[in-house]
Amino acid sequence: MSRLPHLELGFKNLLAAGYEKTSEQTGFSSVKGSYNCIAWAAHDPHNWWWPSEDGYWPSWIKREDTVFCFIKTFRWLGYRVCESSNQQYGFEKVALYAIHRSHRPTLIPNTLNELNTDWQPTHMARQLPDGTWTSKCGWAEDITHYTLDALDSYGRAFGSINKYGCAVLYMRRFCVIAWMIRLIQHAHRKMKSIKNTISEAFRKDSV
Amino acid sequence: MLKDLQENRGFWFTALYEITGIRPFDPRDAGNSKKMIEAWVKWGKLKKYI
Repeated sequence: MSRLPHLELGFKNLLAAGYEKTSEQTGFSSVKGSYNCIAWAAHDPHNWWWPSEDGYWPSWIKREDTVFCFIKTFRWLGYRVCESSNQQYGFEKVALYAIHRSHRPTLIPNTLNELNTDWQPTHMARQLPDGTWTSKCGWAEDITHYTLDALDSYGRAFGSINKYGCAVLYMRRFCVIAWMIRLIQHAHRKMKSIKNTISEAFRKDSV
Repeated sequence: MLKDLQENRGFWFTALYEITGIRPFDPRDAGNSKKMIEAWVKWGKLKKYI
């Protein structure tokens, strides 16, 4: 197994829980072609998704660093909030990690309103068909982790690896919806790349 | 411990948590021994301990 000490130092459960590296590092958001955990969860490894001014975010959703903002966005991708992280036949699941504003381990509230006000979203993981989870850890590698609590972490950021808190919310989508949305995403990307190629050709012509 | 959990449903949850520091089951399944055993056994297989 290829070990990733920078991640093991940031996430103390990671080694015990078990993980596998599945990609190379892609770099920070400023690097062209890099992507982050939210993009990876949304099946879009071409953009750095974050509801900040410099991040990519669907234009029709108000950019807010809140749990509701992430729920709204993933609802557009066909996901609905569900009860547990357990694997369910015919469904694809994602888990949203958030950290309490105190940055200490805190009991997860039962209501979404409380989650929305006191917790800050930090990370998302996507469930794989075998029940394990895949995560892109910021600028670092993609990994498959065997449990969700592998990435539980508290306190302030360790170097350039943020602390994720814990998984606080799960969302699921029916596999047929998942295929349709992925097809739309693929078509959207193709259209965008064709548009870019055409506009570049026009620019070259005018020069 | 994992083998005993799998074969005899031995009550090793606390010990496994103390040793590994992880809980491989959904928090809502805490207290549901069947689901907890399933999760630990699945995790043990992934880690190639059993």
